Amino acid sequence: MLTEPEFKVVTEEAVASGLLRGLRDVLWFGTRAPASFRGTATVAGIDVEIEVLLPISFPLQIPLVLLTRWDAVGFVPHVGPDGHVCYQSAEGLVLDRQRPGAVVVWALERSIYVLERGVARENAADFVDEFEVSWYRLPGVRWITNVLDPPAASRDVCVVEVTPATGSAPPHRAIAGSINDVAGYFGWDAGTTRPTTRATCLVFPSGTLVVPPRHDAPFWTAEELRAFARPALEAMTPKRRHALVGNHFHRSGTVAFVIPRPSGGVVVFAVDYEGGNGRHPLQDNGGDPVLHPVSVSRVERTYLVPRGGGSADLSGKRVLLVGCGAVGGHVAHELVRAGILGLTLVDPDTFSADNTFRHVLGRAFGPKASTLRNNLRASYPYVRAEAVDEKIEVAVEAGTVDLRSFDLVVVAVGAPTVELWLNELLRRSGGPPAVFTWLEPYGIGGHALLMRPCIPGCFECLFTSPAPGPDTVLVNRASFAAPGQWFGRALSGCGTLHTPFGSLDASRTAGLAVRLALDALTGRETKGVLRSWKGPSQDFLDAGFELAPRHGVSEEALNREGSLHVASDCRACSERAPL
Amino acid sequence: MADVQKHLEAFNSKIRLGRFKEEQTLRDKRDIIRNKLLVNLPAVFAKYNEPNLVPRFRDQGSYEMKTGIRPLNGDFDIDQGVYFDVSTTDYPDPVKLKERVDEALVGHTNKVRVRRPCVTVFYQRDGESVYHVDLAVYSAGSANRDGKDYLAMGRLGSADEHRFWQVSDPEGLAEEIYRRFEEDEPARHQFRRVIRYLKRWRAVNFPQDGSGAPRGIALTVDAHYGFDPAYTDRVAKTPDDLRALRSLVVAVLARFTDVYDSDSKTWVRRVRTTLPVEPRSDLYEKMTGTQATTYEEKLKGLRDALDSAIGEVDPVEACKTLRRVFGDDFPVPEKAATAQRVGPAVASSASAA
Repeated sequence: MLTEPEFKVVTEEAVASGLLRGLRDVLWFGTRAPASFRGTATVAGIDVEIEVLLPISFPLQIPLVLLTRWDAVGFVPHVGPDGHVCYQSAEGLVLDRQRPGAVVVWALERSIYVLERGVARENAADFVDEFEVSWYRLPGVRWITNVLDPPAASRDVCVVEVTPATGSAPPHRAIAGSINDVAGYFGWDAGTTRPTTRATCLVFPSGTLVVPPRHDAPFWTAEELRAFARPALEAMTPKRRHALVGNHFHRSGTVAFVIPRPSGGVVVFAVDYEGGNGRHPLQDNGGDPVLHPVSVSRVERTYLVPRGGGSADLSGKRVLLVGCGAVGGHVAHELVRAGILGLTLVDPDTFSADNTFRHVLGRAFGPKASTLRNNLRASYPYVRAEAVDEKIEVAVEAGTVDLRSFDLVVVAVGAPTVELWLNELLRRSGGPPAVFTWLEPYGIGGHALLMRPCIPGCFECLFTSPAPGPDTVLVNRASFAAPGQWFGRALSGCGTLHTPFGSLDASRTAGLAVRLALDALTGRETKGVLRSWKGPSQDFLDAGFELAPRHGVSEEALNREGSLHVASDCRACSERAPL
Repeated sequence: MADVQKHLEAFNSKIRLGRFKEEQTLRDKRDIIRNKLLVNLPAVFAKYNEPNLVPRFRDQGSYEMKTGIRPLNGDFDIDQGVYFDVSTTDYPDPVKLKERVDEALVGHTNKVRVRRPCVTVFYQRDGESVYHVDLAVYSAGSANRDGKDYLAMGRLGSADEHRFWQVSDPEGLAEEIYRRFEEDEPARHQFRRVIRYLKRWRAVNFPQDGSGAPRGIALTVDAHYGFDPAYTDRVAKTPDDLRALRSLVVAVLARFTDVYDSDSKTWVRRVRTTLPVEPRSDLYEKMTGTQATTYEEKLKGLRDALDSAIGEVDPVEACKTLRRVFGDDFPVPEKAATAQRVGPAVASSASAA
């Protein structure tokens, strides 16, 4: 991208910085080719030859800094087999593209700093942090998928053959606690079988510092492997150690290693052994089998879920989702992405083409609950989703759904009559907390209400007017639309009645509801609260409808009200409620 | 407690300035005056060999704050700020600038008067004033070293000590008052209704002239300090104007104190309400001790009437009580409908999912 004069300025600035001298091999082949130059730099008193490589898109990308001889300053962290100095992750940087020379000087400064820390052994812990990267750069490395949640202590595991070897392609294998883990990841039906072999997972004590093998030397011998594994083996009692590697009679197999990273999380890598003497290669008399490094492709639940912003702690929670429409569909997906993997979906309806453009599944066919369940299973690993294609009241009466077996109920039916019934049932049966969520026409807003059975405040409170008048009002006090208006719109006839709102409104409502659900499950929200989002009212007013005063209050002010809706004489949750 | 909210709201509709009738007429008069000033001022300044000044205009007062009511005597008013880009040192005599404004409007209607704080243009029908526009003349902050707007005080023939530039910030006041309920429309609307009720109460219960009646701005600022929204349903924001007004009246009453008056050598009742913007003056400064006492007594009467309406079960009786303090514009329903204890069994809903 740099023109020749611009490139010349960059090289001059690199030299002027005093970091690089003896400029040579200055190569520029046009703006559509990478450019490079070499020079001598001094790193911790050692003169080394450094090459600066400017990628084609430089200065939109950071420059590459390479040591011509990769171990010129010794075996230090952050230097790849090709001498590439990993001085900074490109993520989260803004480069001043008007000053390419200054960017190059910065890259040189950073590189020299990283190398000097390596020489001084100040960043030895980085060998552990970067271990997986060094490992997959080893020559002849094999690959394996990992679905095993890294255990806290060494244990027996297994290697499952996911697909057999074909032609020159090796088999696709997975490290797992059991075949169920693999089935959970790939969404296999229960009872699926695959060839499975026993394997060992060795967990290192935290704080262990290790150095990866050099890539330019022959891979470990069994003796070197045993020396490497010693901290993990010594952390076990002799009895445990014997149970793990003592009774083992296989000529080939796999050992997986788990090392806590100094900066958090763990590194996972493995070694295959072949042609041993039948004893476990980690035994002192384990012979001298041939070893191969195996790089681990990590898809285990505790690795994937947090990467999506979810919480691995929530994966054991069971949530009942009542209503799989436009809002419910988004709720289901967001609950799973948040890490809630146990989900039961209830909806008696069948998909019709009418809601294609506002349902998360788009054009789908079949019963809503089971179709959404299938979609969740196909979209995310480890999901334990079940479907009940029935009305909630029927499923509860028939015992198909046991409310008390859930940690939380999310109600996204949009039909207050059923919701009020369910609210009362949950309160009476001492069931789990529930989040009721619904939205209003033309994008004027949506709501989510948390009901905790043991404390005042529930869905019925919204229908209990504190003003003098009849006991029950069939008006939702949280509504942004003035009461007494009819919003159903038939595009073609009675059978196709629907309320006008869009997918954005549904997903925004679902977002509000799921956040409240998570706050309830994690204990961040301990009260019964009402939260609302507010949208613009122009379309609503243009359609000739009238707003309720509540829409005139800012969203921020509304959400400060929290538990204001709690009605002291609510039929469902006050003292006068029938037990 | 009887439900009189709808009657209060009907009262409010009756006393507030009609947006399309009175307000439009006032806007039209205002625009004519603005235009007249722009057209005539150059000749006036030229006549006195003074540099021409082009004024800028800004709405002020109750019209701008939407707290205006229909006057009982039919004399509607609108406040208009007329800002000149001259410093107070350029025009040491503020009255001179008011004279120029006055002269530019001569012959516009048969009555234009330079008064102490403004120049007033009267519109009359059959000898009665039906509209008047108060023009407050300012030295604009952009021309003054301290960046502040100054209001021209003094009338023709005033002694020098009564002619002065007074720091004045009506825009700041409007902002300050608006800001309190900026994000809460139901509260803002109730705030304005309550001020209108108080203003009508004042018109009905005090003589129109003199300083015995609390000024409209005093009532507005009292509400700014003492008003809190009241709802029968705080979630749905169903307003309860009666309680909101009562708590405001109680808050104002609580600020009355005994003050020793050195002139009469007696203890008198007083209430102070400080303008929240410059010049931060006391809006009840001109009220005498006797007048303040009367004001307090009348406020107590209002409070008692509100209490009695709140305690009344029959809305007809409650409205009759309220009419006694708010005057004949307060509606009294024919006959109370039987309170309905059972609601409908089916209603429409805005919920979907």
